[in-house]
Amino acid sequence: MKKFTKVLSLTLVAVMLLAGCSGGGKAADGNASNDVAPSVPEDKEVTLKVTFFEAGFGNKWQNWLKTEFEKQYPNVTVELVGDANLTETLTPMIESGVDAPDVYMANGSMWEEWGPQGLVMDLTSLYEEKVPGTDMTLDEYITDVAKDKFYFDLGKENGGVKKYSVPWSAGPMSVVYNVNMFEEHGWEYPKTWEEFEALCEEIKAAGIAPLTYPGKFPNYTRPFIRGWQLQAMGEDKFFGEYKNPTSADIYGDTAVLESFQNFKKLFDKGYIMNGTTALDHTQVQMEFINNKVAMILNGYWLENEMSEAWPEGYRIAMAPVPQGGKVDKPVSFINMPDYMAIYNNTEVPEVAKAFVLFSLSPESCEQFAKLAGGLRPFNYELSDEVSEFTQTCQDVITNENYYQYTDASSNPLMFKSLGNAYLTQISTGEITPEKAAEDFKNEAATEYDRVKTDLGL
Amino acid sequence: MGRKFSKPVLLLAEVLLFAYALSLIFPYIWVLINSFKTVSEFYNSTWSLPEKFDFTNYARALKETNMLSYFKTSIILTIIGTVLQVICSAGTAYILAKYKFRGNKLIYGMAIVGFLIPTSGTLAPLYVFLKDTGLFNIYGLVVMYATGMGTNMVIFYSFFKKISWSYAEAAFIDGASDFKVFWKIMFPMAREATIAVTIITAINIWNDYFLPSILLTNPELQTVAVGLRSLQVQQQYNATWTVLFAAVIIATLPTILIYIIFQDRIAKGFLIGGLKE
Amino acid sequence: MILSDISKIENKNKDKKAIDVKSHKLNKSKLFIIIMLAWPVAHWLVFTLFMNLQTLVYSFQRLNRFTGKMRFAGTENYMELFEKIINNTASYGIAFRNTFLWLGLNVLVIVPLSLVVAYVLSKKIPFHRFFNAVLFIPNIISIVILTMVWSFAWAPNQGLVNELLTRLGLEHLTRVWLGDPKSALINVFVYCVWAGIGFNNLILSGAIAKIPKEILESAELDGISNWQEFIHIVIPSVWPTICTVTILGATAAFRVFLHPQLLTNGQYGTSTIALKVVEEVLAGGSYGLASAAGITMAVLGYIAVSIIKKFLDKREKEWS
Repeated sequence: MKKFTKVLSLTLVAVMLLAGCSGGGKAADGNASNDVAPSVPEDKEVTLKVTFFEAGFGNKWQNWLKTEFEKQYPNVTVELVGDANLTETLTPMIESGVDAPDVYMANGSMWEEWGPQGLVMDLTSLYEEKVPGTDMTLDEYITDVAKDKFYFDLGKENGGVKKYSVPWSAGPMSVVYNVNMFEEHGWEYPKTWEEFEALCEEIKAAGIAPLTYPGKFPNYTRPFIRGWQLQAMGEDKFFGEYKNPTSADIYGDTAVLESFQNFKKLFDKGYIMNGTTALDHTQVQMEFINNKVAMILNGYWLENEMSEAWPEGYRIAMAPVPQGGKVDKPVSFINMPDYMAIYNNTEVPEVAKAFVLFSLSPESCEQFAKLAGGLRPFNYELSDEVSEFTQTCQDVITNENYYQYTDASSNPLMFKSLGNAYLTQISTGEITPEKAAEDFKNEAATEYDRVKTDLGL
Repeated sequence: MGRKFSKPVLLLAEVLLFAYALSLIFPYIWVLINSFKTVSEFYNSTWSLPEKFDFTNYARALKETNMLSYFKTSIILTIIGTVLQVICSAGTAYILAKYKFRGNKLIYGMAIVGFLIPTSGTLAPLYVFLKDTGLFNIYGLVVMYATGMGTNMVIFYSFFKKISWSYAEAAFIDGASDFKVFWKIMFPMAREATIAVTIITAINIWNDYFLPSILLTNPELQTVAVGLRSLQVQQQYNATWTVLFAAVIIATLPTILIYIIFQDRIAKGFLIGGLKE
Repeated sequence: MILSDISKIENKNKDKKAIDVKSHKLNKSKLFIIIMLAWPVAHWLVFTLFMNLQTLVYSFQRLNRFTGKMRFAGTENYMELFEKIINNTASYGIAFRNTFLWLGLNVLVIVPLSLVVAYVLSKKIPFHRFFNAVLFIPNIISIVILTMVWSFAWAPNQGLVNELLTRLGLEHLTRVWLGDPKSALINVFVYCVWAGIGFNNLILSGAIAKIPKEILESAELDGISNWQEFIHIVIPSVWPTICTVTILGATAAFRVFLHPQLLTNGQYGTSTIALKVVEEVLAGGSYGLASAAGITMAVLGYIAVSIIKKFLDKREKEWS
């Protein structure tokens, strides 16, 4: 026994020593070596591997890009890899280099960590390049709302503003309603929250469920939750403090609690379709298509995603979140987790950059809308050849009568989580909004301190 | 056999077991039936019989997904992984059961420790290890499967313990080498155990989901289990469930067939070698 | 019983028939042993020993996400873990509780049920071969497909079960089975029983079949009931196998994560600590917290398994 204790304590000491030894290292060590201008060498055969998240947007646009790019540069072969599981496989790919792509299009914001770690390329200089088919630099071409996410501010100590990725797709996430059903019953999409509740009562009276969302993925309630938070805080506080915090206290603001309470109210008043909490997106979207529910919280990809299931003559429209609180217009939420980035150890950095730049042209964006029903946060005009639904989506994010915003932040200190786990638990009555708000605040505070430590601030 | 059941007890047992067996089978029949429907037919009614039995979904499942390449990966991986694991386990068990040397007990104990300490948390270092070694691929998976100190070793161990040593002694006297005695005499004598262990191991590797889901990053190079899961994830974006049903049937069929053929062997293997008592 | 094997080897190593390396063909055999054991032992050292020690190391460190390196963090991870469990932040408390509920399920529900099934089938009742074959099916089909089929069946709107209830006029019993915290955990448990009996049944059947016929026959002549036969003859005879199955089930309880992950995504009160570990590593890169959780559960798991083992061994002694 004595021997055992001795061995155990020795092991523990060794472990503590090992744990203590690990390196510190500073964020953003820089990766200037790859800072080349976009170009395609004409004298040799080049293969460019482009991996993309094959989801709601399908793969038609990527195929178009491949064809056009290869037409322009015959010595380049674009190898497309579509992956529905990319959210899970991307991390090992990038962090281990196995199967790593040259260019990838993904969903999420891992670049915020991979950029400083030197795993994805610093594209700051690419933003100075002219976008093909325009006379603007990327800096001028990108919309202001997108800058709020992609101009990543690591703080002066870490090299200031860096751009590690470019937007892939960004568009509205909001309420989609069944136009035919609304016309049949003489309903009108509401402007304010009072009108919204009145409408829900009317829909309920007609024997139809007013609203649903993919209950398994509470992230779909983001336009409402963020909308309520913005409306309760007002513009200044939301942008000044919530998105650019100077302390974690802001995440204990009553606006958070209020948004959780409003969410619960939707269930208490019976506005949310029964069974919603157990369903994923296709399941609720089928209910919507089958006229079982009048409105659905969803995104601009909805039409394309369900392309095989729409009945003849269907009509749907995207609409902003009703007006309320301190913001005097209806608010429309722009979702932009989709991005393109370049793997830092690529052997063809200049071609990868040329490809990314190529994909940005207005013509390419138009094709993206036509082939994939996607929108991109750049200053370009869409022709009217795109579908009616896509036009309503474009309207929601450009109409001056609405207040457009995003909750993506260029500030690493912002606590970006919507609190999905809490929302699930609120929706099923497992916890109260008060407890959820409390937990949310604590989690935000822990995270805030951790990011500060990690960045050495 | 012992005492027989009285009529009411027997009836109750039969009814309950039938209900249970039905619950195990019926979902597959449901999937099978729905795999012949069109998407809209399925959403109209999940219970009706299909209007006509057409194989469009099967054709689509084979064409639009990488089903065939999933099968190829799974087959190669299962064969290599099973062979390596069975040989490593048999070899280790043989040495530990038949040779006496310092450290024998220690090594056996090392294998046993794994059964008693529930390690659920080693994923983080494993992940980092794979990242550092670049083993995020099928080779990494083969390395992970080629273990010689797991349950299989214990099964072989108890089996070798029971096998008489006299054949080996005779062979040694004839001048056979250690390896030859193992490979030509003792290992063949453990045939029953080898068959049972091989089948179980093959089924386990064929069905393994977690390790391949972490290690295989290339969407073209997936196993059937992981590929099906990605298909399921993909359905959330294009809602063609009936194609997924067809894929499920295609993926299940080979295992079911193999099971029907080898069912007796599996049961027998457990009877003879069995997990240690 | 696996552990008691260790003590048995000590006896069996005295088996004169085994090769004693010291006396027999020293060098050649030694080389053979080394070659044969090199890979398995190396494999164990890397994937079992090293991984576990590294987990211990990581549990005192934290990943800096902007540099990708680990830094020393003292007991920060453990503190965070305990705090989360106590306050049930992000359902950690529930996940912790569930791990022990699973222990109970595996040990007190699945094993006894399997034993009863194995006993009934050992009577060679009509269709016993069919039952044996069908019951084992969940073990030959990938858990991905099994859970997929299960979720189709229990889906709220197009699912088999609700549809069946409605047709039987039991509409008030329909539920959002896997999407309601009131029913989700129970449903996942039912799944585990549904899919878990087959394997234990096979092993226990093997053991029951080996009970000497004479014992059962003489008992039958004494006129004992089935119940008495089950309790007083079958259970004591196959107790060592019951022990093995129970211990395997107990350790498995601490590793459960695929069932809740595939069935409910760990939501609606069905998560386990093992699933939290997986989520923290794959989604968040929180290696430190995940490792601290792993170490904590390994320690608690070892204690729980030891207690169960002690209890089982005591019964074994009483019977032998």
